[in-house]
Amino acid sequence: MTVDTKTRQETESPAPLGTRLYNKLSRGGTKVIVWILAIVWLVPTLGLFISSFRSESDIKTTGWWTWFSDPSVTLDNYDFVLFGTGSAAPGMGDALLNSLAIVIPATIIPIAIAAFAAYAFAWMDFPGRNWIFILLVSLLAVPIQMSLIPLLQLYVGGAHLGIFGLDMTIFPDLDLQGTSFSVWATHTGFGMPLAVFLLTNYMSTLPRDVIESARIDGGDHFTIFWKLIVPLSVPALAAFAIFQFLWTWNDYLIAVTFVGSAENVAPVTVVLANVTGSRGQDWHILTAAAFVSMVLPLTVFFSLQRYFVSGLLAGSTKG
Amino acid sequence: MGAVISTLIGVIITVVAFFALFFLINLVLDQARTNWSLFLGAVGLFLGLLIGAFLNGNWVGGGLLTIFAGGVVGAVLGAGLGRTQDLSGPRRAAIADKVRPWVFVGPALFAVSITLIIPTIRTAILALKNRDSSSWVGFDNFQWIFTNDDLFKVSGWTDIFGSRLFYAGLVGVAVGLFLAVRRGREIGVRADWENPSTVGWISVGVVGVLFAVFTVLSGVIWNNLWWVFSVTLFATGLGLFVAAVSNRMERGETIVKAIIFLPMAISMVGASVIWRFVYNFQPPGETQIGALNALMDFFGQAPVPWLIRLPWNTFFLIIVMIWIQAGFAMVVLSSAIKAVPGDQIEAARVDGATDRDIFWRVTIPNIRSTIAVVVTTLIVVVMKVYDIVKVMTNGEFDTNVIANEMFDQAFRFTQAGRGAALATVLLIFILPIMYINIRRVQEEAALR
Repeated sequence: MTVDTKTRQETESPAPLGTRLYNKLSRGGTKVIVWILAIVWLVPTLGLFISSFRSESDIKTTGWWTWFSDPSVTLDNYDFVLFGTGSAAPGMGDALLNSLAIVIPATIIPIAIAAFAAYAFAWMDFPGRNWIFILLVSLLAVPIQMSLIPLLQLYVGGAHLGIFGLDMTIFPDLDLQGTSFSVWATHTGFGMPLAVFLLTNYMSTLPRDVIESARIDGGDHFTIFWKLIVPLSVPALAAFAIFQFLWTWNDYLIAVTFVGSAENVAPVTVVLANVTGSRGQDWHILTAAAFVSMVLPLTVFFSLQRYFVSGLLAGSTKG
Repeated sequence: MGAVISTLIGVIITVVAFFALFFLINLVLDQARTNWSLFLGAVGLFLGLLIGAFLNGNWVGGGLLTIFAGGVVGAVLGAGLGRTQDLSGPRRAAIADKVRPWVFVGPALFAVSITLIIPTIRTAILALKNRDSSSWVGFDNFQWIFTNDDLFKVSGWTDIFGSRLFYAGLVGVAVGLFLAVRRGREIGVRADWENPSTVGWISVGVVGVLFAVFTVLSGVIWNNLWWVFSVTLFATGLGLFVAAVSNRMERGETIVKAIIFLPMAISMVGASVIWRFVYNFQPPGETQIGALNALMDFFGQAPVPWLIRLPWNTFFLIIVMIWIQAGFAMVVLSSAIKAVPGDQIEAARVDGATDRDIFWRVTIPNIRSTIAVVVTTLIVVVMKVYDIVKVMTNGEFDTNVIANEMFDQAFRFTQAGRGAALATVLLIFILPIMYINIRRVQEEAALR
């Protein structure tokens, strides 16, 4: 590998034969390993997917891979987990609607709140701006376990303060435990640091002269925000929306803490976990129920992957 | 279906009302310059409503009359005050401009205060109290954590020295260090850390030593550390490998990346169901329907009850998390690799460097800060792992982790003090990461 006398001619096919041969071989080898990894990564999900279309007796007596030599498809499992009645049925159909009732507000409301805050952090000057922003960002890493006990107490009994023998109600007891409000309100708060972080970073990259000329033209802050900033920030808004959607849809801990297994509120993750606990060997139910819980996030994920990735790259400090 | 539609309508009404209120507040602020009593009247209305509600005893629950009265009184007082005050126009506008940013950040600060800031402080306080928070107990809850064999077992640590894995690991580290020094001498530095054999030997050695430690020492805290170490190392390593190789692939890059990335969209509960099926165990002699035991069968081995076989069952749970997080590492690192300046790579190639040299001496040094981001993010995520353990083993067979123990103590055994102490331990583990994140944001802000 001599480097001293290089002519223009040589740079066009720079590497010596040995290096090129080595590169070819190692490229081939690593590619094979990557393909094997991809197959290993796919097999668990594939097994679940195929099994969900097999009958109970098939699943319990033969491995799912025998399906390739003996394919037979039934939708009975899906019919049962979605619409089945009786105490044995998991009721995934209702759980899907419960999940939507949590996820829709938990995605839209934080965006509305965070967009205003992000505009202020990016384009307004006020005392303590940097410190408050840093406080918000540092909250990204706080484990949500730190919030669970006090929040549950708040939802169950409100917050009271005894001063001079008087019982002051800071927050009324609204009996929120077991309501979907308690879940999405919690998600709204937990999603806020990431939302503000992502949107502030994005909004502060918008061209300064555009916003300043709008100010000089007499635009007030609300008009600038609404007519200029929001339309320009759509990519960041979409990125956070997908993030928050996947996060709240797939969340188990917050839902199980605040609604437990209350039937008319429990989202898909809670129901699926319960079925795993109570009917852990009934694979015809488990596989179909698991797949039902994944259809929507997978669809969103693959159709809007571009936005999701940009959000991931911009805010990979989410806790 | 009805629930969803009514939720949707509720959300639309909430958002529209929020924006309308916001618009109104801004309108009032803009009027401050010309109509000062309108401004002060609005401030009075707001404060009056708040005081009225507070005096009510139970906010809205005590009837709307007090709130309403408070609002009217406040508005009249404010408007009256506004008439008597004599301020110049620009001065009024300046005051309004001081208020405005707080109107913008107020709702967000309110939301994080209620759900994150105040609860975090409260949990830290509860950790110092007894099970129903009726009296102070000092650091008893923390003492309980670190003296309890289920949580933090240190007795029997000498068994580490009976583990072959431990010595194999030590040998690996020693070989790595030796190679680093020798290669370093060849290229004229003290030690060469940027070549695959050094890094490879040392990582394998460290894995051996630490796995020996984690298989000997049991308990919730050790398990958590095992999780954090393994997922961080393997997910980052695999993600980096796949990113580096697939970026160069002419065909199949998108497919490979999509497959590796797919588990990111699946809930951890769903992933647990998927992997319980993979690990499924049937008694010997019966047909194995789990993929892994079928494979054992194929090679003539006895089936293994993966999830209850100590001490490696914890690692079989960890694999699920690696399966999920490798995609995250891959995507973030892949974009960093693509951003490595092309002329640097070209220059190395002209110098006759192999792909391998380019990867270790050009790519890796260039993406070091991104690797740090991936590692810190993974530590934060994995430290609080809960769903996988809960669904797959419910923390039994020595697989428990801090978050699951915290949930059980706080909500099943009504031990608020112990639960809070466990959550606080999680936070303390995360504090160094928070510090790193804050430094990074400060640096980014300085660059802007």
